[in-house]
Amino acid sequence: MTYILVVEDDDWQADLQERALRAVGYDVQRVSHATAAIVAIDERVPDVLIVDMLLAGTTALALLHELQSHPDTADVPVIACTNLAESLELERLRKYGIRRIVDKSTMRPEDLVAAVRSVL
Amino acid sequence: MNGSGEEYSEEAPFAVNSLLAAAHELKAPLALVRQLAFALETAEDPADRQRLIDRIALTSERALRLTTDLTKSARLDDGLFALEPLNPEQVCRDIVAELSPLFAAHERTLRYKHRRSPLLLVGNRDLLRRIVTNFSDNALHYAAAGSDVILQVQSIKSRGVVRIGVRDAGPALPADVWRSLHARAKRGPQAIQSRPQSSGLGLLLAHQFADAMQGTIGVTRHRDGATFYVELRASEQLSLFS
Repeated sequence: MTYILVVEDDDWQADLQERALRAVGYDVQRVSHATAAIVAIDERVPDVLIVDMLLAGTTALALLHELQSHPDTADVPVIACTNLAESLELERLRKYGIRRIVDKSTMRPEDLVAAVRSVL
Repeated sequence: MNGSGEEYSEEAPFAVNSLLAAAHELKAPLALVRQLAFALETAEDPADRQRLIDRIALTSERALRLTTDLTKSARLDDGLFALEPLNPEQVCRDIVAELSPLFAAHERTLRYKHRRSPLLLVGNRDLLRRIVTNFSDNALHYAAAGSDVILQVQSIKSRGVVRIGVRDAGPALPADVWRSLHARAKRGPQAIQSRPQSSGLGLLLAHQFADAMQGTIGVTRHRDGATFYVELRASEQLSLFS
């Protein structure tokens, strides 16, 4: 089963993402900050990482930079799920493993599922 | 709006940056309400539906608190906020009563740490309430699941002030982020593109409200979280209680 790790510091936002992904059969774990994400990834490398770009504590880019520096995690496809989508340029973020940007303010649940399918 | 980040630098006019920051701060709760509505559309279990409805209401209230703060910020110069002797304990208890449902819905607890001897300060009840509510909202975001956020009042006699602090237990912040938070408390909101996490608008408003009461705000870093606090002049009527 495809395993997705959601890194999102808003509990309710994370819950909604988990609902959407579980509804189509994905195995989902969610964590609320970057340090917890690293612990979770050490235990099991996800097939897809969904990350909020404005995390409390260590920033998302610091987390992604760390993942890029390890061979076993460098190729994990990343989806940025953010309210800052209009300020981000995908091409500049590809070096962090980001393959898709999903705008929280305009997305529907099926958009997140479609983004996951597009990077698998 | 141009999303490239080139037009609105940190040197942009204060009002423009404030407007951008307000828009950004309101965007997250509005986006969440929208997505909760989508989830409600497909939820069938009555308990699940009720939970989603509660979350919509609580998230909307959180956004509305920000609009209230912005309105008050715009009216600070109108002289509407008279200073008077206040019991901060009562303000804290009122905030605990108001925000407890929100904290409970997030599986966190907001509580007041009782002190034996009451303290009085000189301030404006409304502005003080806005500051501590703002800090509490912020603490909710950073507090670890299942943890307590604690409101506490203490006297700092050497400086003649009363400190009201909001202590959270959350993930440790890197030192650079911490320095940035300190700096933000005293200047305008920054260009959205330059922020690691948030606009700093809440801190700026708290700073303005404290300033209107001749007080200050600050933050103390702990190994497992932070205390955001406001300090206001102790009331001379304090002696009536000692």
